[in-house]
Amino acid sequence: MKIFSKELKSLIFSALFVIYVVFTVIFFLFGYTGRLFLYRYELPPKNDSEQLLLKNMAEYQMVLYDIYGDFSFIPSNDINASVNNGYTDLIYAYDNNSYPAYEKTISLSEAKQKQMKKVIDEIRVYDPKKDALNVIDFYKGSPVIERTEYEFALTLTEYYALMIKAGNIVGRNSLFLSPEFFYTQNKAATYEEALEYYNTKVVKNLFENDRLTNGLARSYGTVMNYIAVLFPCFITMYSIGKDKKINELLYSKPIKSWRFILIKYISIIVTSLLPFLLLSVYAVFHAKSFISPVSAAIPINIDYFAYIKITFLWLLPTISFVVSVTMLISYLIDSNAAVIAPILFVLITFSTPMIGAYGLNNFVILFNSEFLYDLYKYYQSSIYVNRIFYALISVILVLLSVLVYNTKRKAVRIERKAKSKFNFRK
Amino acid sequence: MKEKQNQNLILESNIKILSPHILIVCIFSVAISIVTLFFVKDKPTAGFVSERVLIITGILLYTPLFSAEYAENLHEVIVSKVTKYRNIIYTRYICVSVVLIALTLMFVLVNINKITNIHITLMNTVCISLFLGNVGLFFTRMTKKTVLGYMTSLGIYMICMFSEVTYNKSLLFPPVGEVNMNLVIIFIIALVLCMISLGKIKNAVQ
Repeated sequence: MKIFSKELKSLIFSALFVIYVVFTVIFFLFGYTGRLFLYRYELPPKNDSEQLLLKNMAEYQMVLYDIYGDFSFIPSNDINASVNNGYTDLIYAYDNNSYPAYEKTISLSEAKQKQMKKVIDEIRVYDPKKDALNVIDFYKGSPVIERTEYEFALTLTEYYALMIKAGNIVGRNSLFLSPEFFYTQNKAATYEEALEYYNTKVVKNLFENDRLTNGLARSYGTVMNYIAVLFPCFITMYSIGKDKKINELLYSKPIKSWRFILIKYISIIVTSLLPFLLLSVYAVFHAKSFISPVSAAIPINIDYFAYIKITFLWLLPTISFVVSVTMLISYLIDSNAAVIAPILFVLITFSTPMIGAYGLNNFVILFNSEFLYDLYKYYQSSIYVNRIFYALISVILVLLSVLVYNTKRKAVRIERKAKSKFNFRK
Repeated sequence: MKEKQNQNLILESNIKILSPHILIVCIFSVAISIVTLFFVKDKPTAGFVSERVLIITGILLYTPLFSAEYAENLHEVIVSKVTKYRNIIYTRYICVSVVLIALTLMFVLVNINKITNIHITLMNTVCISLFLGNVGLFFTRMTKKTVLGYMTSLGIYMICMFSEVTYNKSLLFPPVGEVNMNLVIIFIIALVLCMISLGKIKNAVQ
């Protein structure tokens, strides 16, 4: 316990921890609170009179957006039409091997095209010869396709999940990753429809099912994952690096290798978690005050432990994993070159899609929406399996670090014995 | 004659000190060039790889310039002590700058058919690398800890990338394949940080 508190103190009272906290707070303000806008949670205000004065559809749509904000365009009640919309665009992209992404199109390799075909067939078995698409027009470079009315046996959640799967094959910038916005049959809403949509999307999904903070905590966890993959690695490198000068002394101490590594590992994890835990507490109060204009009209039963849960369930396994990998590399190569580990983690994280990638090859969990409760429930079991897997991998990597450290220690002892023998004979 | 021998000795010993970092950077750059050559099919992505991924080489090259002394790697340092410490650091700085430009050129030449505007890509990549590298160097010098240099420069890289992913606009970096005021700003910041980091180096291990 004494060694642990000493180690913890040396990490917390260091310039490194100050820089770490500064970056964490910047990310929290910039990536999480800076992206919360109250109008997305507020009841659409009723203002019928303006609609009557409108002359054309474009003007009507603009005013609707002014009045209802995010609720001016709502998904059509016809699920079949929505699925048909996305499915047709997907098979058009597949046929031409040109997938829409933000500001560009992406071509896939043959292997990825095969994967894509499997996803398409999961929505509806597609035969390019029979179901050839008919491009009827080009509007500003985008094709206008004649849409055949196919029959689908999918729920909207299943359809979203499959489109996200397709988006993940294309890559992080794929538009298929946002089926809710791009591949759902939307229509301009009347006030009653906007209100109904608001009641489902915000009141039922976010305020009732997610108790507000569970939904917001997912966005918080997504943003904080970026910090969690980078800075704990440097805490590890710093912690191991500062021992370098006294390694000879440490090797001769009566403490067992596994105990020494475990103390080091836990102290690094605690140091890494500390800013997240403090921000988790602050985030609840922030959410409560932020939503107070809405909660005055609609009672919300806030979950006070939502952020803490996300910190432990999402962030802790990620931190454990990156720390254990960096620890093993640092003990193996014994130099600052271990910096390559956090760089690779960052690059992998930036290539991970913001939603829907929870396979065992993804060590970060990103779910960048507070509204998609149904979709989150759909993915929940995969997320838990992923987290357990990475927690176990971390344990194995820590054991390997113990092995490496112990071997080094033994080697130094043998060397020292040999030296003393030599001196004695002399 | 003796002076020339000394200069060769400085260069040799400093390349030795920097060799692990240069080796890692070379592996990193070659891997990125090959991956881009075989797997990236469209031009915007190739530009993105250069101006957003390859720039990490700057962090890896410039940040550890002082690390040999701070880590007390005495053998190589003593060899270097035949001349002023300031000159040793300047030699290292020039060495890594040459490596940086060479590796960026290598990437551009390997993927020459995939890059829309070679001059802009080269300029953006070198300037951003220089900026990130000098941020790292500055924090290493200030805190006397290489890890903190890496941490700060990668932290800034992360914020810029994150802002691009979430707000579609990078805080500091110029847009891929374009030149704007941000490029001038980061270049000036890089120069100022370089002058502060390399200024007032005493002829002793600090």
